[in-house]
Amino acid sequence: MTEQEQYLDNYTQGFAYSFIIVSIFNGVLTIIKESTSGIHDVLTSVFGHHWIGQGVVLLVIFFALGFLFSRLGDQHDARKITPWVIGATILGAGLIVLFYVFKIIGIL
Amino acid sequence: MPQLAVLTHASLGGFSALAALWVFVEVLNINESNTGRIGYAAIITLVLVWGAYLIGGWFYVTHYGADKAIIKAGHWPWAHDFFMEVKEHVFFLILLLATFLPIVVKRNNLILNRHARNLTLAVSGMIVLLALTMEGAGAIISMGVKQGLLK
Repeated sequence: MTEQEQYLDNYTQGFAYSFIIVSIFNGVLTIIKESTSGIHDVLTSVFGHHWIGQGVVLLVIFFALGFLFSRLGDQHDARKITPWVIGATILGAGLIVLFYVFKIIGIL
Repeated sequence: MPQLAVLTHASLGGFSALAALWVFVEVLNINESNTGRIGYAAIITLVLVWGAYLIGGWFYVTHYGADKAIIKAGHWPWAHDFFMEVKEHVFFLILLLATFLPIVVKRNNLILNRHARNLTLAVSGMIVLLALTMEGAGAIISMGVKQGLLK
C-alpha cells in the first residue's frame, strides 16, 4: 500500500483531531455555560450574546488547532481517525442532549 | 423579514442535508468521472450550512426572544427548553463538519485512499442525520409558538 493510500493528508488529519477536541469541548462548554452564570455572562459581555460568543470561541479553536496539528507532520494510522470523528460527534451531541434531558426532568 | 429569515434558514438546512447526501452517494459510487462533482457538492454543502448558520443565527439573536416568551407561556414550553436549546448548541457540530468536509474531499485521493473515502462517508452521513434532526427540531419549535398563540 502506498503512502497516498495508507495515510490522510496533513490538513485532513490535523482538522480531524481539531474537530474531535472541539466537538467534545462544545458539549462541556454548553453544560458549564448553562449551569453557571460566569462564562455565560463573560460571553454575553464580550460578544453581545452568549451564543455568538460560543460560536466564535469554537471556530477560533477549531481553526487554530487544525492548522497547528496540520503542521506537526506526524502521520498516524488513518483507520482510527474515522471512528474517533464519529465517536466525538456522538459524545459531543450526547452530552448536550443528556444535559437538557436531566435539566427538564429536574435532576440538574 | 424575520419570517422570511426563518423560512430561508429551514430551506438552506434542508438543502444542505441533500447536498451532503449527494456527497455520500457520489463517494459510494466513486470513479474517475465523479471526483470533480464530489468536490463541488462538498463546497455547496459548506455554503448552505454556513448560510443556514448566519441567517438562523441572525434571527435567533435579534427576534427569537419574542417567540421564546410565547413558547414558554404556552402548552409546549419544552419546545424551547429542550428542542431549541439542543438545536442551538448541536448546530455547531454541523458547522464544523461542513467546514471539515471540503478539506477531506479536496486534499486526498478518494479513489486510491479507502480511509479518506470512509472519513468522507462518515462526515457527510453525520451532516445528513444532524441536519434532518435540526429540521425536525425546528418544526417542533414552530409548533411550540403555535401552541402558545392558541392558548
